[in-house]
Amino acid sequence: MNPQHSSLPYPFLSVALVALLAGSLPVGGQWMRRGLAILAGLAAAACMTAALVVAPMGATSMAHDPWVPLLALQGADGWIVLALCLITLLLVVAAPARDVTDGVTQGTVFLCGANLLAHASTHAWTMGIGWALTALPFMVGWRAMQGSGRHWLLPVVGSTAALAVASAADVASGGQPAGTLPWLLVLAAIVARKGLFPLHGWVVRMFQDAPLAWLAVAFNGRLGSLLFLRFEAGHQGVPAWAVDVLSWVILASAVTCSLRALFEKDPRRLLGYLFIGQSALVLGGVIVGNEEGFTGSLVHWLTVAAASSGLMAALRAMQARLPGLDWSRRAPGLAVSAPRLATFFLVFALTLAGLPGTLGYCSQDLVFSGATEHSFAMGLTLVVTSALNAIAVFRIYSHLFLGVRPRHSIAVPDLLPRERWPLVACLVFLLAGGLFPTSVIRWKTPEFHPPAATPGH
Amino acid sequence: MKTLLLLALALPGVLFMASGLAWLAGLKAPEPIVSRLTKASYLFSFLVFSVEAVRLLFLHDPSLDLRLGDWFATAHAHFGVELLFDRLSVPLLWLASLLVGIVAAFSGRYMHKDPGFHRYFNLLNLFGFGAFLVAAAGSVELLMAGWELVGITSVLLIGFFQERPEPVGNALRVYGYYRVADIFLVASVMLGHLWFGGIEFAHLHLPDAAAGGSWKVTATALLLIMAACGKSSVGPFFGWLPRAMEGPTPSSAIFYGAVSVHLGAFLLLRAEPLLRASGTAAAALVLLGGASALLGTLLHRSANDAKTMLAHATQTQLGLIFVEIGMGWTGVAAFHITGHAIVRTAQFLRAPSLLHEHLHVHAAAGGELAPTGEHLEALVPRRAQWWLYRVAMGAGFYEAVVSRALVAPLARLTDGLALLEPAPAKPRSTGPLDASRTEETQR
Repeated sequence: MNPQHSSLPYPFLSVALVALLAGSLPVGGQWMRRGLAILAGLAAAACMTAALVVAPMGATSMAHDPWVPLLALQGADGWIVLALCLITLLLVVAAPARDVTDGVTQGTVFLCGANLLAHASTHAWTMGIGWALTALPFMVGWRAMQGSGRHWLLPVVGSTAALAVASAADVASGGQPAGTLPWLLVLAAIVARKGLFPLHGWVVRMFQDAPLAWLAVAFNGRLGSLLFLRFEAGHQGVPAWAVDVLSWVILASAVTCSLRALFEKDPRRLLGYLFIGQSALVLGGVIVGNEEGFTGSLVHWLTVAAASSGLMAALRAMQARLPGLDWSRRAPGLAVSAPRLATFFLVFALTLAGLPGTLGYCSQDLVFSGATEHSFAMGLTLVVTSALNAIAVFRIYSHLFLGVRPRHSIAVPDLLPRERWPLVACLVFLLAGGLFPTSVIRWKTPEFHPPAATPGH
Repeated sequence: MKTLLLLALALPGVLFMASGLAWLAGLKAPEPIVSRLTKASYLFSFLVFSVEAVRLLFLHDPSLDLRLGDWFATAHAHFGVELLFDRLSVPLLWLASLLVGIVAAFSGRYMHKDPGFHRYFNLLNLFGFGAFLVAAAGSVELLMAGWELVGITSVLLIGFFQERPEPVGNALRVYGYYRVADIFLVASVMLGHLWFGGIEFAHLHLPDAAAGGSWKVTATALLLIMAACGKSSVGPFFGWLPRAMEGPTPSSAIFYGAVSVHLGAFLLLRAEPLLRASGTAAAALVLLGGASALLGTLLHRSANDAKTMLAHATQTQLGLIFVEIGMGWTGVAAFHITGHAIVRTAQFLRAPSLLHEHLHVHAAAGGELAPTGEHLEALVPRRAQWWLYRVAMGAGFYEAVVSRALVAPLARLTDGLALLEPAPAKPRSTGPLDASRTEETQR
C-alpha cells in the first residue's frame, strides 16, 4: 500500500525537534534549567498538537515537514510523540531539584527529542539514528549510575547493531517480502530493545540504577513495536514463523517477569519487571493480527505511558525524600505521613494491572480479547500474568507505604503542589479514559490496520 | 424511572470520585458533611430500589433491560453497558443499599475523629458502587468491573489500620486469593465470548448439548463456580475470610457479613442456566458447598474470638447457600442470602459490645446461662471429638497446604528463573547521580 504524501503547512516537526534539543542544554542554574526544559516540552507538545490538527491522518498518509522532508507524521505516531511530550513535561515538572541540577531532566528532554526523531523518520536509517540516540544519555551518564557496571550496554548496542543490519536489508530488498535473516535481526532488535526474555534481566538491572525519568521516556517510546510495524509495512506482511517466535518470546517474558515480580523486594527492580510485562502485552496486541488486539495495544501503550510515568514520578519523589534508605529491607511505612503519595502510587500501579474504572481495564480487556481470538492459551497466559502483576504491585505498595514506621525516622512531607498537579492531571486522564474509553479509542482511526501475517514465506 | 435508577446506581460512584479527586487536590470536606452526604445517597438509592422492587415483585411488571450503548467498541467487538433490573438484581440492590446505608450511619459515629475517616467513607462509597454494579450488570464484563472494585476496596479496608503489620499482611494474602479467583472469572468471560458469543444474562444462548456443546457449558460453569468460591471464601478459597476480620468492624459487617461474600452466590444465581445445563457443575457445587459448610461449622465451634467465630459461621451458611443453588433451589437460596445478610450484619455490628451484652443477659438470667450446642457434640464419639478439634485448631490445615503445595514451589521456580539474570546491584538508596548527597533530606 503506497502512502499518500503531503506537506505540513508549517515546520511543526523540525521546530519541535529543535525545541527539545535546545531544552536539553545544561545551561544556567536550577530554575533556568527547569524553565528551559518546561518551555521545550510545552513548545514540542504545542507543535505536535498543531501538526495533528492540520495534517490528514491515516495509516497510509504521510505529512512531511516542509523544512526537513525526512521527518513526517505517519499513522498513529503523531499521537504517540504528543503523549511522549506530555509525559516529558510531567516528569520535568515533578522532578526533584537534584535531578535538575544533575542533568537528569535535560537527559529526559533529549530522550523525548530522540524518540520524536525515530517516530517521525521516513527512512530506516534516520529511524536508526533516533533509536541509537535514545541510548546517548545512558552512555554519557553511566558513570553516575553507581554500581550498575555496563549492564545497559548489551541491549542498547545489540539492538542498534541489529537495527543497522535490518535497515541495510531493508534498503537492499526494495519493498519485497523480507527473507529469514532480516526478520531474525528485527526480532533480535525488538527483544534486545524491549528487554524481552531472555534479556529481561539486563533491563531490570537498568531499572535498578538508571534515572527513572530516563527510563520512563526511553522505554515508553514503543520503538520495538514501531520497528515491527514499519518493517511489516515495508515488506508486505509478517512471516507466520516470526509471529510464532515473537508470541513465544512475549509469553515467556510475561510469565517470567510476573513470577519474578511476585517475590521481588526492591521497588525499582519490581518496576522493571512490571514494565517488561507491560511491553510484552503491548507487543502481544500488535502481533496477534486482529482489530481488538491492535486497538488494545495502542490504547494500552497510552495507559502504560501515563501510568508508568506517574508511578516513576511518585517513586522518585519518595526516594528524594528518604535518601540513604535500603528499600528492599526496611519498610518505611509512608502512608501515614504521605497519604497522597501512597494513593497515587497505588492507583497508578493498579492501573497497570487493569483496575476497573481506569483506562487500563479497557485496554487490557481489548488485548485479552484479541489474544484469545489468536490463541486461547495466549489469552489465558496474559490474564494469569496480569493477575500476578496485580499481587506484586499490591505487595510492593504494602511494603513501601503500609506497616510500622521505623523509630527515629523523619516524617516525610506529602506531595508538593508542583508534584501533585501533574500527577492529578495524569490520574484524571486515566480515570476519564476508563469511564469514557471510546473517546480515547477514537484516536486509532479505522484506517490503521493490524499487521497481516503472510504464511506463504 | 430509568433516570432515577441510573442515578441511584451511580450516586456512590460519583461521591467517591468527587471526594477522592478533591482530596488528592488538597481539599477535605468536614466529617459531618461526608457522613450526611453518604447517608443521603444510600437513602435515595434505597427508596428508588424499593419502588422498583414493589413494581417487579408485587405488581409483576416486566424486568427492565437497559442498554446504554457501547462502553467501548472496535470494528468487530463491542463491550456494551447493559443493566438488568429483574427479580434477582433488584432485591440485591435493595438489600445492598439498605445495609450499606445502615453501616454508613453506624460508621459516622464509630469512625468519628479516626485519622482514616475520609479514607473509610471513600472506600465505602466505592464498595457501594461496585456492589450495585455487580447486582445490576446485564453482562459478565460489567459484572467483572464491579466485582474487582468490590475486591480492591475489601482489601484496602482489611489493611485499614495501616500502621499495624498484621492487617497489612492479611490484606495482601486476601488480595492474592481474590486475584487468583479473578483469573477464573476472566477465563470464563473469555470462553463465554469464544463459545457463546458473550455471556449476557438476559438472553444466554447456550450451545446445543446434542451437538457436543455440553462440555463447553460444564467448563464455563466450573470456572464461574471457582470465581464464586473465591469471592465467598468457599471450597478451595476457604482460608481467607478469617484473615479479613482485621478491618474496622462496620466494614467487616458490610463486606463479610452482608454484601461482598454473598456476591459469589449471586453470580451463581445469575449463571443458573449454565448450572442447570451441566449436572457435573451442579454436583461440584453441592460438594464444595457441603464440605465448606461442614468445615465452617467445625472451625466456628472452636474459634476463640467473636469476629473469627462469626467469619466461620458465615462460611457455614455460604456453604449451605451453595448447596441450595447446586440443588436448583434458587428461590430458597435467594431468601437465605437476604436473611443471612441481615442477621449477620447485626451480629457483626454488635460484636464490639458482645461482652457488655453478655453480662447483661447473664445478670438477667440470674447468673446462670446454660451452654448451647452441646446436644450436637454429644452425638460425636469422644475420640473423634479430639481428632476434629485438632483439625479445627489447625484451621483444616488449609494454610499449611497452600504454603507447601503452592507458594513454596512457586518461590523455588522464581529463584530458578533468577539464573537467567545478571546479579542485582548491592542494595543502595536514592538512585541516580546523587550518591554523594545522602546527607540531603529534601530536594
